[in-house]
Amino acid sequence: MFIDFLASISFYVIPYLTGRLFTVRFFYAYMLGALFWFFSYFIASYFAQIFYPLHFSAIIKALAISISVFSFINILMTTPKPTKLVLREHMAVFFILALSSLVYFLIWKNLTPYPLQLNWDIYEHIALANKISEGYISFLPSQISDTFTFNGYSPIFHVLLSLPKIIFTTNLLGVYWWLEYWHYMLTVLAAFFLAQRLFDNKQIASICAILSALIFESTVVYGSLFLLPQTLSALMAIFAIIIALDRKKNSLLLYAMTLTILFLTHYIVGILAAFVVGLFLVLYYKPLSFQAEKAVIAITTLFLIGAISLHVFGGWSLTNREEAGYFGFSLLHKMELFLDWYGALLAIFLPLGAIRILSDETHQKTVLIAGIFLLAVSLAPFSYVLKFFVLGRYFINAILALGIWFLISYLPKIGQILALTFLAIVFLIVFYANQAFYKEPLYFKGVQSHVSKAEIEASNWLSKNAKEDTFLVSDPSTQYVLEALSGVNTQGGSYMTQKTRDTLFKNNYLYDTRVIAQNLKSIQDLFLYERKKRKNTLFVLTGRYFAWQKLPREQKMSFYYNIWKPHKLEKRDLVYVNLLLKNSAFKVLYRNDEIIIVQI
Amino acid sequence: MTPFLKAGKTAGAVFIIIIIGLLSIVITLARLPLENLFDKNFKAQITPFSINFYKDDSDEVVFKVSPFDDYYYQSSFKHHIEDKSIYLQNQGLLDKLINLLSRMVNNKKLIWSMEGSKARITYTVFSKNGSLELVRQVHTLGIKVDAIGQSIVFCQTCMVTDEEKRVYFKASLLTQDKVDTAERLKLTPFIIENKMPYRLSKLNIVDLDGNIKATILITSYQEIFFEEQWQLLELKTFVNKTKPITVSQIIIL
Repeated sequence: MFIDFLASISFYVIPYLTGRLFTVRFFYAYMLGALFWFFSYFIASYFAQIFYPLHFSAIIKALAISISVFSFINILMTTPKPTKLVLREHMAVFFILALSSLVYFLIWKNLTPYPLQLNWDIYEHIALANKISEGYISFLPSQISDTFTFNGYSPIFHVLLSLPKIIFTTNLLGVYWWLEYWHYMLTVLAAFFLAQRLFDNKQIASICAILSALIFESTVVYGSLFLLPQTLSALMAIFAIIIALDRKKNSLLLYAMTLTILFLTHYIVGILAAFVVGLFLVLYYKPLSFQAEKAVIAITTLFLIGAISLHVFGGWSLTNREEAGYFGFSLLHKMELFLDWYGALLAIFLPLGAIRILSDETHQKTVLIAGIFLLAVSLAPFSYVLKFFVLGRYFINAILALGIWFLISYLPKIGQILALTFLAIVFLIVFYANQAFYKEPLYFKGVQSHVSKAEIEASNWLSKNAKEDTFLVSDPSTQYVLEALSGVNTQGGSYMTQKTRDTLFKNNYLYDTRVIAQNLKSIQDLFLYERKKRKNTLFVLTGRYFAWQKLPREQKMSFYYNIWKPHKLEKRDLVYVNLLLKNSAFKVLYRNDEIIIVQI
Repeated sequence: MTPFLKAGKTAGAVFIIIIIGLLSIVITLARLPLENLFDKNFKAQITPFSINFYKDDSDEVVFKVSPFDDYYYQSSFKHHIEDKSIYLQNQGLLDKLINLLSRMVNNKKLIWSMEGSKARITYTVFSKNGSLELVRQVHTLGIKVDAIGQSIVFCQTCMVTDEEKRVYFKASLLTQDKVDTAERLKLTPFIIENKMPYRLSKLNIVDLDGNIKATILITSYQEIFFEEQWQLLELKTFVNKTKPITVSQIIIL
């Protein structure tokens, strides 16, 4: 656990130390370092191929350690003595971070101890980071692993994720457990500093930070509690805006680099984030007149009304992907989601905050323009667009915080404290119910998680005993989890092709082991180099596998339906397995009460 | 600003904050009811007309309780606590709030209240050291009650056995299959009409492989009835008419 803790810090520290060699500005150092490592991986991969015995991970490890040590020494030698940190000035921040930590560990991770996870998407990111750490690098993730069928981002996030894996030689599952805590804390900090820069008021900033900690967008968005390329891109954009609002001199070159990284981290969210960062930059350096600002706000509001009105005509799918249909929500559904996330607070305090911004000449109008614009995009009747609220949430929460402050400012001091305490309790109840509702279906053997301890143990066994030429076949969810945690290759993880799904469908409760073996061996990885490597095939029979086989055919053929939580092997499943193993060439290599790994 | 206007704004602010706060809680309770109790060995789940109990992580209902299956007695006459679904009103927000707050403080408790045409009944499930205590509070509406029949309806393919390794069957429903199953599981078939023997301390719900799904603890003052055609076990408990009716049973899953 401690190694994973250190490894998780290296996700931030190593890029920072690298970039620190070129700039002392904290945020830009991280951005520069991230870009450095992204391009270094391509160069290192090339050298590893040319100078064959040289291992890719050895190059990266040596480079990372030397750069980090050199940079650290450089910092020690060149940085002047730090001024005393006056605790009193930063009490609010420390208090909020402490409170947020309690919320995170006592509520969110209450039944999800280390290293278990509540984020389904991490397994594809871990699988890609594993592949990259072996030296397989390409600008397109779909060229690295057949788990990726869609290139929504470059692998920069996975390059950074692979750094802890290479340096500490550790499984990324435990690292991710800590990474998501750091991400959560950083979103709280980002909310605090953004509101402070916008409104120059610590109380509003504190309210905004608490809102960030206690609002969980439990569908599609996952702003603060999940570390994903989209959430990281949004977070980096907010820090870029915070710096833009700082009175220090800003470098356009560094901004251009930041916008590039936002784009590389997640193309769609990144483009939008770059636009919003650009908006803040432009309006900061070339402020509009009061009238012009109001006109822009009016236009943006019309845009919001237009986006909502479009729902009258139905909805549109932005891609041909089969799952896109499931991510196109009606207006009513989206509003219900906002009720789940915010209760009734958004309906009153958001307009109040907006009115306050409009009526006070000193207030930043850009936050309102950005907030309304991103809300409009999120509410539009297109598939996936709700994802953009991952960026919009920061501005909406800032306006909400202003609205709350506006109302409680009418109260005497003691009344303000009581009112804030009451609202904090309300938000806590809303947050608790929201996250509990999300986690309930994942309850299994006393914990809430997408993956079980038995699956982790099986993965550890596989990573130690399965050779590089091994290929694993099972249902989509089992493949998805085991490939990520063990490093053993599968056909596409949970994004297996229709052909593979069809083959598994035909295997359903088949008893002729020769036919089963033939079917399983016919399942091929999409990459030639993986197919050439393959010598052994493992068939993994899990509780998930049998639960998946019980689904109707159309659900088995769909990317959207998965067995989201572990299952035990039932008696009837074991009867089937025992019949298969009797008088067949299938050999059991590993078993526990959830998983049986069989060699074909 | 005049003091009157200032006071008005203050009052208005307080009013809005309280109303919005309470409305948010109401919306959350209505939209995201936490109607499950999770324990390491079992799960209890509220449905529109019953509480269902599951063992471990299985999706198979081991048993359920419902006001449609429970009874109240007036002398020797027996009536369902509720027999018409249209009269049944589901639990209020207060119960949902208690369930939520119980979860927040890790208090393993689940409450479900129903109001019918004859009685109001509250089921409270407590999780205690791997077993559950099921408490029924019955408020009859102007009806004098002599006893309460706490019923559980158990899994379709399951049977009832006791500590003497007897398996219970109703005479009219006995088949050779059941006798063969009893023999396979080394149990002694015990034929009854509907009333079970006295001095039983516990009953087991077992499946066709002999696995114990649940164990119901019996107290000495309870009469037990078995309606095999409905897979129903009823524990009749005499009550003190002068006090509020609260009866409980301990079940180990």
